Amino acid sequence: MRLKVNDVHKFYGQGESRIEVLKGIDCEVQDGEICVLLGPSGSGKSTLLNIIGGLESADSGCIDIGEFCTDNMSEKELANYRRNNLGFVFQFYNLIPNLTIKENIEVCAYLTKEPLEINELLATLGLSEHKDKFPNQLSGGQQQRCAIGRALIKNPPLLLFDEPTGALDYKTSKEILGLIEKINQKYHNTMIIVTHNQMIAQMADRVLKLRDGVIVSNMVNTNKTPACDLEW
Amino acid sequence: MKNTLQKRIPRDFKKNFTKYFGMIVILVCTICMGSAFQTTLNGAVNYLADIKENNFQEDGFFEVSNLLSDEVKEHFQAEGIWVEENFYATENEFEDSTKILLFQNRTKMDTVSLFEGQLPKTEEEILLDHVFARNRNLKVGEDIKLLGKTYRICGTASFPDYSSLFMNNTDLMMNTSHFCVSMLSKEGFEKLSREGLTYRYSYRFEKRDMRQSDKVTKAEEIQKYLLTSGYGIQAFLRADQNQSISFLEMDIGTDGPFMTVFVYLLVGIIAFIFAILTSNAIESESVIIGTLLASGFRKGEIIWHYLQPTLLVAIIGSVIGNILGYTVMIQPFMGLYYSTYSIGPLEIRFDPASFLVTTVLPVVIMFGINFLMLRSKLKLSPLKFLRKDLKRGKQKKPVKLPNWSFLTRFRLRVMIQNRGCYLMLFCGVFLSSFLLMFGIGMEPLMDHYSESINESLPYEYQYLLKAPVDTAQGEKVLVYEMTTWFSLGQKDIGITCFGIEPGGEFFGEAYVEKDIAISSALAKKMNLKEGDTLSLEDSNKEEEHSFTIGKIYDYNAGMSIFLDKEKLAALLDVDKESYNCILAGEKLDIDERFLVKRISRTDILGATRQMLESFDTGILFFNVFSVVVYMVMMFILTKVVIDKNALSISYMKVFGYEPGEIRKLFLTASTIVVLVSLVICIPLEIWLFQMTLVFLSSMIEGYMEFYLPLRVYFEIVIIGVVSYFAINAIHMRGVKKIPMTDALKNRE
Repeated sequence: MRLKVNDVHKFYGQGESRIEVLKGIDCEVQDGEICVLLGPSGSGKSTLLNIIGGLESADSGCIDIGEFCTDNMSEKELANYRRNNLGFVFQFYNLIPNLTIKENIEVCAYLTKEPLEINELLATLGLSEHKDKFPNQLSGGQQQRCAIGRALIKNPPLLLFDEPTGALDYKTSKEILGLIEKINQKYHNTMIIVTHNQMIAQMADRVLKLRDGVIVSNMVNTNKTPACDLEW
Repeated sequence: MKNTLQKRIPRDFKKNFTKYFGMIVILVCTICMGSAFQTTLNGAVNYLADIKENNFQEDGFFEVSNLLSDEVKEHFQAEGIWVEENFYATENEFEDSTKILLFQNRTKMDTVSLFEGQLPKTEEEILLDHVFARNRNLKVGEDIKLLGKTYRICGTASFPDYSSLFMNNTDLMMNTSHFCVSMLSKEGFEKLSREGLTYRYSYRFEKRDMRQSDKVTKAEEIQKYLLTSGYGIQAFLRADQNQSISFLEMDIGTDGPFMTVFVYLLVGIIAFIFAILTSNAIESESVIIGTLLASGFRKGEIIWHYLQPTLLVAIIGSVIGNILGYTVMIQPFMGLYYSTYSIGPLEIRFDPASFLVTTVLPVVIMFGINFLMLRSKLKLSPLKFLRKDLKRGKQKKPVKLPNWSFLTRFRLRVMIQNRGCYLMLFCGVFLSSFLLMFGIGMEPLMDHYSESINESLPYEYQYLLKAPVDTAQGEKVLVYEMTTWFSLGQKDIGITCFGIEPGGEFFGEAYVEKDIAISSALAKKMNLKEGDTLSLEDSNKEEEHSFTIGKIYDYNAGMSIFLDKEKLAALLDVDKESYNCILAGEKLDIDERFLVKRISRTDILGATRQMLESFDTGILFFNVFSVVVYMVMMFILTKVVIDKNALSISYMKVFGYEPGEIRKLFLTASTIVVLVSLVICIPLEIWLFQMTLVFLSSMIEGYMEFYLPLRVYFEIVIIGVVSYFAINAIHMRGVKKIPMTDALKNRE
């Protein structure tokens, strides 16, 4: 599903302390692409991700995703937009502690009429043998796999990752990135990954660099590096 | 696809079993008490309705010196008045100065409801009133000697015309130990000497939907007809005037609102605790909620998810509460009625209206409060939940603390961080301490009320006269009843007007030449002071009179006004020398024929006690439940604080703090809040108690002044402290169980 960001502006604060965090963002992400949003802290990348995900609203401009446009959507419409089009993966997994790994994934299966086959997905995620464990019985990497499974079970056209490796060590991070890559190849979801790790950009189809609320570089990566070969 | 979130609910119940169990206990207690009481009350109401129709309760009776002729009977029949013989003999000298009326077998009107045993069949058998039999420990099968003859008690029953055992209708109180009604078989009654019989005829109107005013008119017609037919009427009493019939109905009317207030107070507490628990759950799961919302869950779905534990607790509590209410708790409640009133076996009947009041409405209230709280909490954006930023306004800067010791500052930080929870704890301590104050304080309050009446009552005897009597003793006063509108109670209340003379032996101090004096009880009940105007209505003459209050006279025994006797006589259009009441310091020898009523100090105090005891239903349960509610509430609220600090406690363990030190850091803050709350809530509880008394006073004839001895306050604080420390010990065990891995694994 093609994603189009049209002249998005976002302000925080009021009066003299009012800051423009996004200063007219325009970009497009093609169907099935992995797009990495790179930038230092405060560049506006998470804000842009949140606006794309319908968690925040833009002060002007809009997001077009397939037939939807987020401009002037009501709260209920935004919930439906997220329900039908998006999957979120967060830095700290945000799993439900008193549900098993399988159940954590099934939570989001409820939101769609045609979820992916759970056991096949568990196998893809490498979690089959851990499916009946509770989150606190697993490592961080395994929990993040579960979080990815939860986002993916609806098979949404767009998957949003907010620093998915931010809380993981090098080896586990590479495993997770490998999993993301594998999923993209298998399910062809469009993916947007927010990170400050420049090396991750090498595995992306498109890299958007943000600084002080503007896109300073919009680069299509013609020479992708497989996740397993990434080094940092 | 089923919603997998549902699987969390039983796991949550298992994990937080103590919290949910506590909630269920309070709810079970509330619903159990409410439904048992309401069912009993309904049983009594249904019983009253049943005896009116099924036992053909009389609409009144008259006693005449001769048997009615056939002609008179035919006349009444033609007038639609069913008249039935209800003759009785009187035994005045049963053991311990007891009076027993022996009625003839009733088969048509005022038929009895059998409580135990069987109806009398032979001339040696007698059926006794069941309250009297119980109070005098007379058992079925035993013998009893009355009017010189030995009878065998064949059963006990209640009599529709004697649901309250008033020996005389003029008595102020029932007498269930020294007065009894009984029934003989037809043969047994015929054996009695005709000389000792009282010819009572009970009447009942065939038309059953008559208005009260029509019944009064019809009764007057009966009296007139009897007099014109040459019958000497020895007694005539309509059912509404007959205390033995009407008193129970009045008492039921005062019991209901009292219990309803109690049930809804408890429901308020439960809803309040649930709101805290849910609010806490929202805060601790804010990231999960944010994730669910970000994933596309709708707010309605999240609200429903968090409402389900409330619903489950409500359903479990309601089912168990109703089962226990209808099976176990109903027995003591029925026992309270059976020991006071002569009513037949009350039928336990499921009543949809009671179910609505005791179960459905409380559950709806709980559900409603939680729903509103959740809806309000979930107004925040998903992002705010993800960021754990659940504050509505701007983020406040951390409070700067003075350079006190680390321990003090840490505790203060715990208090500041949990200020919302501690505020709830304060409210919880307040509500449950109030319940305790109500439970513990009711008895001394009642005693004080009786005492204040006793102290302010200047006379020993009050004789209300039918006609003036020739005696030089006592203070002769003119007494007249009027009414005034009591806006708080939304009803008319009776005011006794005393027409007095200056220098009177008993009410001399109440005399004011101009204006009127009012009793202190009336002044307090209606918030009147000197200079105010009081309007009284004379319903007999359909006149209204306004008086200026010139004095408040210390008199707590009634709602009374005192004015110059001549002025009252002029108002009533009677001779200025006339009087209809004598107040005396000792018992006077006045012929009963001239008396309407004789009231002694003992009668007044006894009646006061009896009236207050009508509120007494369930005071014992009240105290037990108050302590249970208190402890459960304290447990839940302090546990919430510990749960919120579980991660910090875990950190402290990792840093090397020992359990005792952790207790000082976290639990001492709760201890301080509880102790301070216990003390500073007392003025608030006093205020609420006073408000409750105003409400209760609106339902009774008198005025109950607020009074609690110092020991009650100490008891409340001591119970609070002991309960808290018992709970604290349980919490310490819980704190020991918090694993250090929480701190090491948590990545926040």
